[in-house]
Amino acid sequence: MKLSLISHEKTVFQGEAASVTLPGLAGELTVLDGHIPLITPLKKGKIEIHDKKSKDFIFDIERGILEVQPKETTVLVTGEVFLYCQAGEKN
Amino acid sequence: MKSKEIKQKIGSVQNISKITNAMGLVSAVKMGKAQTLALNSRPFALKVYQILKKLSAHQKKEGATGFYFKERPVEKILAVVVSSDRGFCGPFNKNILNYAQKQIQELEKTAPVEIAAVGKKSAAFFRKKGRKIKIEFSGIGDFGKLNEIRPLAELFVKYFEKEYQKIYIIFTDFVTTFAQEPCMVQLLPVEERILEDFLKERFPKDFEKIMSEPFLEYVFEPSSKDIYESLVPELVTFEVYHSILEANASEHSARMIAMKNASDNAKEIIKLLILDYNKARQEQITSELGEITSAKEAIS
Repeated sequence: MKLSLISHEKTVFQGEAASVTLPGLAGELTVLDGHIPLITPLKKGKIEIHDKKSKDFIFDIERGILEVQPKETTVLVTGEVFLYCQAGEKN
Repeated sequence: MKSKEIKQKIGSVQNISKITNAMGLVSAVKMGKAQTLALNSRPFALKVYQILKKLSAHQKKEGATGFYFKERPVEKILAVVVSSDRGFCGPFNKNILNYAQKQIQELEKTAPVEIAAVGKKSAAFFRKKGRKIKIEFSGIGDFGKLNEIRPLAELFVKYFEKEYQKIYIIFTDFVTTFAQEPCMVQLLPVEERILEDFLKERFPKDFEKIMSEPFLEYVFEPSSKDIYESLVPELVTFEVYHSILEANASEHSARMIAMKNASDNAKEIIKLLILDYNKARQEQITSELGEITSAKEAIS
């Protein structure tokens, strides 16, 4: 799925992702390919992205909004965001 | 004019051109930063508008349950007008304020309009026109910061809950360094049709793609009602934030251009004045020479 992580200042992440784990209001949730369309607010926590090239990213966000569409997933970060860590093979 | 006077005038024009030149350089730097901020926030803003549009469509399907989407009988309208704090930016303030005035006159046909002035220029303009200013907000500075704008947007939402049944925001949309266009959008209540018109105008490239998207049955977590109530104020905050960034970018661009024009004009004037000065000097020399020769003739 196409994933983009957009903050009000810049596009933080954009690319193909195999899965993404997010801090939903009710608890952690993971979005994989073929997830049903969903809109939900996110709370403070970590976003874990698993790249298709087995590369991992972890972002720290203050809050946000998640929108899942059939082919595209967008996270709007409405507060601060940091790249917490990045691991995996280099391209 | 005497040569001495002309020389003084050249000096003062030179001083002015130095000032405008310096201001132009400063604005160029600020313009670069403000433009980057505005352009970088556009994908985010586009998404915000899209989500609002989707929420609006959904709540309509559910029987118009969301408070922020409901049309109420209009008793009072609030118009948020974004201008700059400082002058010296060419036609920037004049354009936006005249446009706002025209739009407000149109709105006034339905209900009395009050003003929320962002920027000193807008407050001064509407005070002169004798309009009621509900709130004045200045000191945003050169670049809008989210932390500063959030309380402002929250205030608008609160106003909508109590006093006003419609809130509009009027700001300058940054097109290019040379062109900025005033525009207006209805902040609250959120209406799908109005957002569509606005998106068509602001984002013509993405508009077709947005409209071709099929209607998706979204799942809302925790519940659709919660989403309508918690997300809309958040999204409206970003609408306000984005509008102010666009206005900032426009302001600095307008000032840069105005200062550049002023410096160019000053250069032109200096050229003409130097020509005048030389003419005056030559005339003086000629008349002095004439005096000397005639005096010599008188003596001999």
